[in-house]
Amino acid sequence: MVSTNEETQLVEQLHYTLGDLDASFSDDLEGLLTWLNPNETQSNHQLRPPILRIKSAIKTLVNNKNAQEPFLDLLRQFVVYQTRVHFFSNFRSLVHFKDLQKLERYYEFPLRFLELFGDGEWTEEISGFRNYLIFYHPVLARNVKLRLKQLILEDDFEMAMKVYSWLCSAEGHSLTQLLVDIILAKVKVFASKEFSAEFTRRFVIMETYNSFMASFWSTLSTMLECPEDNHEITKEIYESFEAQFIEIRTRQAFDIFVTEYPNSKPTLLELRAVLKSPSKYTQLITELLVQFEARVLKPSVTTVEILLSYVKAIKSILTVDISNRYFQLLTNFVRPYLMERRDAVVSFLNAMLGMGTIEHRESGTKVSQANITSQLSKEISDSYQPIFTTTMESSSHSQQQYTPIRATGEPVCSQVIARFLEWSPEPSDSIQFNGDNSFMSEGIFNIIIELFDSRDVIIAEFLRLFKEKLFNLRGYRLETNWHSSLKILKERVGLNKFSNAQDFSNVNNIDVMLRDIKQSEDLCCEMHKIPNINVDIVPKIISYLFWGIVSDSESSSREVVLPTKLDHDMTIYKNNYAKMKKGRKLRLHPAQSLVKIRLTCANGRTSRHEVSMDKAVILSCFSSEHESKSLTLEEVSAKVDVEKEFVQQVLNFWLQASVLTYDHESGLYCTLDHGENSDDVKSSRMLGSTGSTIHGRNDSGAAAVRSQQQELFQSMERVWPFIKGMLTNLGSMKPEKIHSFLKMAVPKEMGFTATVSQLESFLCHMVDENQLESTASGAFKLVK
Amino acid sequence: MASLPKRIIKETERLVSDPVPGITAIPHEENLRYFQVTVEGPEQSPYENGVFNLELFLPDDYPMEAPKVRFLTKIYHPNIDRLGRICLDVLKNNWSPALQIRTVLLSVQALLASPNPNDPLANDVAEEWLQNEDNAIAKAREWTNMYASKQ
Amino acid sequence: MLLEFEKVYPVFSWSWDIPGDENAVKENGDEDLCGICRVSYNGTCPSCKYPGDDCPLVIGECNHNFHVHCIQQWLDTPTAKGLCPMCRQPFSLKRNVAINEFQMGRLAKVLINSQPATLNDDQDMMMEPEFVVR
Repeated sequence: MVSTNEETQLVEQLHYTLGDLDASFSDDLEGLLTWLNPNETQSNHQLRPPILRIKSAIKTLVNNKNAQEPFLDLLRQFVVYQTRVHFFSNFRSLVHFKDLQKLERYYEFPLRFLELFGDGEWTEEISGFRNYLIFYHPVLARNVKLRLKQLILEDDFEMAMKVYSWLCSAEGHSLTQLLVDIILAKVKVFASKEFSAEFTRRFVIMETYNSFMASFWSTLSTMLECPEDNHEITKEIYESFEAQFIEIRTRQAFDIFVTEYPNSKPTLLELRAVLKSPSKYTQLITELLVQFEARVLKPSVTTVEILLSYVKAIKSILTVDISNRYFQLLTNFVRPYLMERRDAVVSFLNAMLGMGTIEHRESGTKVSQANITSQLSKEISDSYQPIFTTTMESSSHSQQQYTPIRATGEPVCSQVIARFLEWSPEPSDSIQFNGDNSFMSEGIFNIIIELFDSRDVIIAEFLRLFKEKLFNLRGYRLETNWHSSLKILKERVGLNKFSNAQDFSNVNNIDVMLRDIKQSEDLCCEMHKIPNINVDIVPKIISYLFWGIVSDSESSSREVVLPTKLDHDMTIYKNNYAKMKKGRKLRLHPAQSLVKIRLTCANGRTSRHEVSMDKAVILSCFSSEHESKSLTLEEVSAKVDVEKEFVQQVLNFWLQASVLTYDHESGLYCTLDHGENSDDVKSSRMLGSTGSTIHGRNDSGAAAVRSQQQELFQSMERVWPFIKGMLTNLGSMKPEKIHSFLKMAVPKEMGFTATVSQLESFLCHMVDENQLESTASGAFKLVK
Repeated sequence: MASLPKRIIKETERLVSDPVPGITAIPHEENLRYFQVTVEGPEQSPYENGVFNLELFLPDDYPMEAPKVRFLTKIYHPNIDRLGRICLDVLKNNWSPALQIRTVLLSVQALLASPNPNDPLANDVAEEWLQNEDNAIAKAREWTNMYASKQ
Repeated sequence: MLLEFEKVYPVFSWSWDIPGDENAVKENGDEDLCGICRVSYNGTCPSCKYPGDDCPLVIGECNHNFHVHCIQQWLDTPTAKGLCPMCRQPFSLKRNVAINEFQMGRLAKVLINSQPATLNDDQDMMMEPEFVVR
């Protein structure tokens, strides 16, 4: 290697100071110097202990009491000089902490064999290098800090300690802030693991914090050189856990607020406890809205599902946000979408009245739908508890609005409510909630009603359902849930809002209807006492004006020529009524009347049906003790004196029920007297679906087609991802091709059974939904 | 506020949806029993081309009691006094609940077409009408131009 | 096939049985409305909640029909002078009509109050159930 002037001088002086010894040790000295010299990369120690000759040279020249101080001093100068030369010519190539370690060991290695430097002397030298590196080699400095972070994140505290102390010595002081930052980063990682999708535990932040501290704090506090009870830092760590919790839970907003509700209540309560700034609230609610829109507000989601999601979300928001400021956001957000759904009000009322199952059997939709409705029922049904509302009305209103329906007599509860009413909105205000939040739910009811913009719509729809319900009553008794809903409707929808006189009278109708039923019961009792009267007749006598029945309107009072016996019975009832209620007369409404009929076939088989009277009467044209009877549409129409269109609908109804058959050639309808053994099945199906058949809305055929289609589309929704997938890959495809692909691709459990034309109608449906477009060649492709 | 009887609601609806030619009656926003009324002067009467403002109030007992009607526009008419009070039998003794706001206003319009100085309310006007009919009609026309012109 | 009605839950609507109603002259579409409150015969007068027994209808000799409360209130006013609001004939209840049977006594009282001079001449008549004024 090239020697510099300084080096040569040093070496000469070293030789010189040896004096006499130099003669015998000159070569050994040269060897030692080479061995020591970090720049002699080929011939120095190479991290190997000295060979014998050099060892003895060390022994004689250095590790010796008689060693000459000037010599040692020069030797030190030599080592320092050579190391510095090496360092400065090499430090640029240092990149990682391990390079540093290697280098430091390289320098330090030979010195282990020499008693040359005193305590701290060499360390100082190394510190100088380190210090230099930190300030003049930013890449390395950054890498070392990153390394420290990585080590702490990986729980390698032994190594981390080394790196940290290296850094401290390089900087010349301890790096608390850096370490705290790294600890907070560790908190973040730890939290994201712990705050996963589990929402059923209550004090997750505290638990997680505790487990974090138990695992790491003693080590970390040692590194930080702080006492374990340093509150400043532990508080910072705790707050970081809180922040993480909010951030993570915000991302999971929809799952917490909707999907997992009510199991997610613990998480909601915890959120409420930690959400302290309005901006965090806003972030949370915004995220919820975004996810709500993406996951709920789309055509493939049924109205009941939307409502259920909505109710859950509202309940969740009310749990989290005690100021009740944010739910209005959701309401405003969902309302326009829901308003486009024609069945929104009905779905809601069905759920409210617990009519889900019947209604859904009626429309032929899936059991799962009924389940959703009953879930919605459950969520709303809490609303029959005594509650108050706050932000529903202006504040002055809400005072009046609060009327405990059922006095609880619990001072605690009333205290809480009292506090609520005079409470100034501040989310961090810590009001103790009643454990089950039951007094929140009537608010829910109001909120939902609010959602439907116009209360008139709800009342009208409710009256329609109520009417149907009463017409369908076998006796004169209403279930309790109707009573409670009536009460609520009257109190919440009607009376409180009767700025509109029309509104009020509508609600008043309910009372008249109920009284009509009650009086019908009394009259029926009286009439059944009359000798020889047919007691299988249980009449309802209504004040038609209050039942939304226009006296002359065709559909609601279509006259049908009754079979003689029935007509006779009806006349007896009419006459008796006229006797009992002087000056009044009765008119029969066959479409609203319900009958239970028994059909006895020629082969002795019987079946029972519950249908509206007009349907039964039309069928009775075919009644005969003997063989089966065949009639044309015209004949039936003439016999019952009803227009053909309606008769046609009813005949179709009986065709579907497999009671009649139709012969296309002769145009004759005929009873299915010798029906195959499928009869049993048919009749049971019929009984099961009575809800749909009584008072059928004159469009049973069309409705059946529609509901079949709905069912089809629902089953097709499941294979939609497959269709989407193949169209993404293959561009456009013809229905036949898609069909055969689906046959292959869809797992058997999912059971893809649709025909090509069914598939095609679904594809057309998706075109309508703007998911697909059809090409000129009759193929379909995804909408870009 | 007590709820409005159905009859009044129905009458109001009909007045708005199916107005009588030459007559408008608009209920006051805050009091649905109070109407602002305009009546056009009948053709070939001294009040032709005039538009007269009236007020109509339905008392609590309406329809058992007649509506209260009063001219707000000054008018020269033997049966209408300076305060706008009207001498009309259906508004007084001949009231019947079978009558309605619209029929009452039609009667008022008819009264403009055929003044009856023999049953006067404004005595000076009636006097003039009986003494010098041409003069009275000219004055009525003049007042119409002055107080009831369409602008 | 034989069809039998096992159970019948008929829905009837009631209405006031007004004799000759079928042939009644329908006057400008108001045929079924009480001439006073303009609510259907089968509805209620403005002060009643429930139709029927609570708010009966009466038929005048002049064939004008009113809710009993409406005509009663009208006849109670001095302006009425005992006249039918529709035809300004003296108002009396039509005889031998089932509807009116209940109301005879009640309305009689009203008519006494409004027509004391006329009635005092013929006190006995008031006691009869089929009482008719004048």
